[in-house]
Amino acid sequence: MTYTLMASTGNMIDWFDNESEARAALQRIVESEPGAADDVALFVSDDDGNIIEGPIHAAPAAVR
Amino acid sequence: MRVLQELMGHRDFKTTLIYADYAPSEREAELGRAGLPSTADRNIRQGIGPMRPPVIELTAHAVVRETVVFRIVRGASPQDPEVVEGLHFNYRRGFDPRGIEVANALVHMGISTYRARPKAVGIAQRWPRIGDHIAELRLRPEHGIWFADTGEPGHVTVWGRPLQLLDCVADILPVDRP
Repeated sequence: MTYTLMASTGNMIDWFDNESEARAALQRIVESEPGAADDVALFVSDDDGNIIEGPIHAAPAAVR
Repeated sequence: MRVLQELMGHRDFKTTLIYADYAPSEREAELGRAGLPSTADRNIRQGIGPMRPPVIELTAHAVVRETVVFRIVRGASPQDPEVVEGLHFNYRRGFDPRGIEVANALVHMGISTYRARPKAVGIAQRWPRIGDHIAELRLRPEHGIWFADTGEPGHVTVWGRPLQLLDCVADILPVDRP
């Protein structure tokens, strides 16, 4: 599985092989840049590269 | 440009003009004057956790023969300004680096493409905000384009000048909405 962070520009901004690290990175981006909540999303793909989940956004309500 | 000359330490302004496309934003200029935050601070602020390695490996290849990739874009024609804009990388669009872009400027300066159209279509269907069309890019050696397999299987980061990438557009087809 690969966990990819994408911007709405269509460009990848990070990728992980660990879901919790990917979700934490997404959360940190939105915490540092609340306006990015709708602009950055996580996609999950299987080992063949097929997208199986996403876009997953960090919920603005979760921003501390 | 004078700010950029100052930041880069050029004595001759003509040298700085070579970098005219990359003149810093006001925010970048402020960072340059004030001193960049520590790597740790930037990592935490911009999405890289303390456990994230600061450097990743990329194996980039020059395009030495025609190579086909697919890019999600907005707009149906190469003459559409939004299509040209869609061939710009995040740095060029003025976005501060986020995630691994902080530690790897290559990622910040590349565009995401896919080896297969269905993969690009699938992403565009799931997140229409990215774009409503898929451009087929036939990358040719004479344009000085480089690429690397990055991220999930089938994802390719491409480095090239936007107008030369535009010259590689062979076709643009709409994304069918499910």
